[in-house]
Amino acid sequence: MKILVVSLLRLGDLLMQKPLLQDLRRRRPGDEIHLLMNSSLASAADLLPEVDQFYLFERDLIQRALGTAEVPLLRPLMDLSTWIDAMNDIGFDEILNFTHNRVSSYVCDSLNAPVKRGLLAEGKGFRPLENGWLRHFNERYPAKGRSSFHYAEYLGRSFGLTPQAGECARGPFERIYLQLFTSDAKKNWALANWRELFDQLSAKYPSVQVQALVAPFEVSTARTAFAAEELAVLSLTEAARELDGGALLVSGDTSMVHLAAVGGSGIIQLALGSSSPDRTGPFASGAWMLESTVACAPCPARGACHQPSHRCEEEIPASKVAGLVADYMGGGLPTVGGGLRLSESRFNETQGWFLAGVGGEAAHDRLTQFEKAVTSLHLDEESGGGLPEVGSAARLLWESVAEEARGDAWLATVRVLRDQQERLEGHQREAIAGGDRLKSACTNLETAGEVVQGERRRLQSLFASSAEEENHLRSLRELGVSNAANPFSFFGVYRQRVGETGRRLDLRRRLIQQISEMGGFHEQTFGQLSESRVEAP
Amino acid sequence: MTSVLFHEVEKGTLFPSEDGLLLCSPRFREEAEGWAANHTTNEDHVFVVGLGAGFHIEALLARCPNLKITVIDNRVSLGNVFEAREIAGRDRLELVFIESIEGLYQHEIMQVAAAQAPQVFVFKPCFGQQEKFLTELFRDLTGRSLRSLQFLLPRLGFGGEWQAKVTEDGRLLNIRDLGLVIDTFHDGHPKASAVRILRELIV
Repeated sequence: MKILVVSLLRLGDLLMQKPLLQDLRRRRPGDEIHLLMNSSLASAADLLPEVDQFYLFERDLIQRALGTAEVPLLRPLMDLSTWIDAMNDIGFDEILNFTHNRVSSYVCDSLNAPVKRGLLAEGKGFRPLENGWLRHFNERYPAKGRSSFHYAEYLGRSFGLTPQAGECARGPFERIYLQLFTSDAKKNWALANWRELFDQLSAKYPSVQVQALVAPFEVSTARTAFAAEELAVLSLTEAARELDGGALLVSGDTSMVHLAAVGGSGIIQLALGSSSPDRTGPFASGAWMLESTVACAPCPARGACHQPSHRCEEEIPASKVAGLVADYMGGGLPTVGGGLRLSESRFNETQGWFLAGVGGEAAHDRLTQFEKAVTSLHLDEESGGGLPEVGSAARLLWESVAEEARGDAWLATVRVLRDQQERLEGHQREAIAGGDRLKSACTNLETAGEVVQGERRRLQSLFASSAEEENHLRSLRELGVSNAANPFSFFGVYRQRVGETGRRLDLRRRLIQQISEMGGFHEQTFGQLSESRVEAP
Repeated sequence: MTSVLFHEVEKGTLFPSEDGLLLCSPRFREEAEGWAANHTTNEDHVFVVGLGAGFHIEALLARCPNLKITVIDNRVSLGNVFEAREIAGRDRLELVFIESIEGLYQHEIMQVAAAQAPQVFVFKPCFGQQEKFLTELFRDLTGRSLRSLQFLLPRLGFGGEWQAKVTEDGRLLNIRDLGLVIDTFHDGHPKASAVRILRELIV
């Protein structure tokens, strides 16, 4: 059988699809795998030994023709029709559209095969998406917010494939490559930062070859900060050869990251701008991704950075990245500090690919994993035929909560939050009592007292009643059983609520700390005063 | 029709003018070379609208040794003077003089345009007083006018009364106009998907 895989995206996307092609090859060893890709990626064919035959879609040529008045209006149509006829002469038995965009859906519509899968056009509209995974991918993947599934997983599950992620090397490294530029200015880290990082790493690791990796068209810009001998200008094939287990790549969100994931080199990715490591991070375990937690990140893919300054980039100094490189190479556990989030990609057979917070956020990780597991269960059931009962997954969830005996991830998460909350409640009571004592003790210092009282009022407003947690759980239970149209809408609200709780807990923690510090300061001050002055204002 | 006059600016070289307007630059060699450099192509056959003094045609013939060129103009006298010169690659050159739009559709080059859709280059410095007519020729030869689409589309199997759907307003039609016709009248046509692919690829 001849299977045509249609992949009309960019290099990074194609490389992320490699594990899918590998799985397709594994599952159908006797079939021919043919791949249609954009002609600009012709050199990537060397990286895909799973594929038997390649075809090139002349996207750039067609676009140039369409934009040139001197080319007759019908000429691109005539040329494209000739190409389509030639493709149809090959006689494909099955077409898999891995691209999931309108162009590819029309391409698939124009090609003949008894079986076609993926996003498919039908006339001027589209065929209904054939399974729940595709629908979920179509609806949820472009949405803002964190994603439970990596792009390769979404796509793989949509086609019944199970992509296996590779593993990143953790040193010792012979070479460190710094990829200076991404394809989008808002994803770039400043050239001055790269220069500083280069100098720090070169000084710290004299026996390691440190080089700045650039494409040929980027050389002139790179030369404003780097000498020619500090640059590595590599073709795709050369880069693939270099980015093996002996190399560490430090890069923004680039196709080189995916090439490194394929080759098994070490990876530290600086996820700036619209980068979403949870969706399109390197599909390998053991890569580190550093993100800023500024409110605007990740920003929309389209358009330039809309902030007065590139805030997500400013949060990441070169010294911090140099420290991460040292930890990555030395097996240390880094602490990234405020304003930043460091994640490590992990992969196992049961959970698939996921990001785990490095140095904390265990509850968040469990929550993400739980959401992923339930979503998988639901979508697998749905894809297997017939829609499940509306809200059934949500109902199951709440039954498990009611039983309390099933120590699943959900309960673990709830318990973590509950324990945290109880602990903080205790701290709150202590702090408020301390504040009261302080207030009664220092009525002569009205200013300080007012501040403490104000903080206490703020605390109380955060959790209006002691039954708040119970109310929170009850409202969620009602939502899950009666109001949620499906488990996804339930989880959407659920995550939002838990996020709110988390933010409130965090705020409360900081306020308690503030009060404690304030109390400590005043107690220390009062300790210097005579007892009579305190007691007799 | 306006009158075309020829002036011997340098020995043996005649420059045409039309109603006092020169149809090429006094620095004709640089002009022709520059134009030819910008129109170097790997195509087998192209149309060029505008003959003028023909230096640009000679330059393009020299640059593209396998290229066949069909030059279209409406001023026969330009052709007579041009033919009197010795031109390298003359066997790859065809001169066609069209004096009306109706004449264009009766000429066999319109059949060539329908079957092969050669690229259509223009040499605007020689348009002179004929700018409006030669621009019309360009629009029709590139299939970017309503009139030419009416001629060309039935040959691709897209018939019907679709004209009212497309507003021309003197502009060059593009693939979006064709997409509109396909969506409205030819949804199930075998080439409809190809048109939709092209429409999506417009930048």
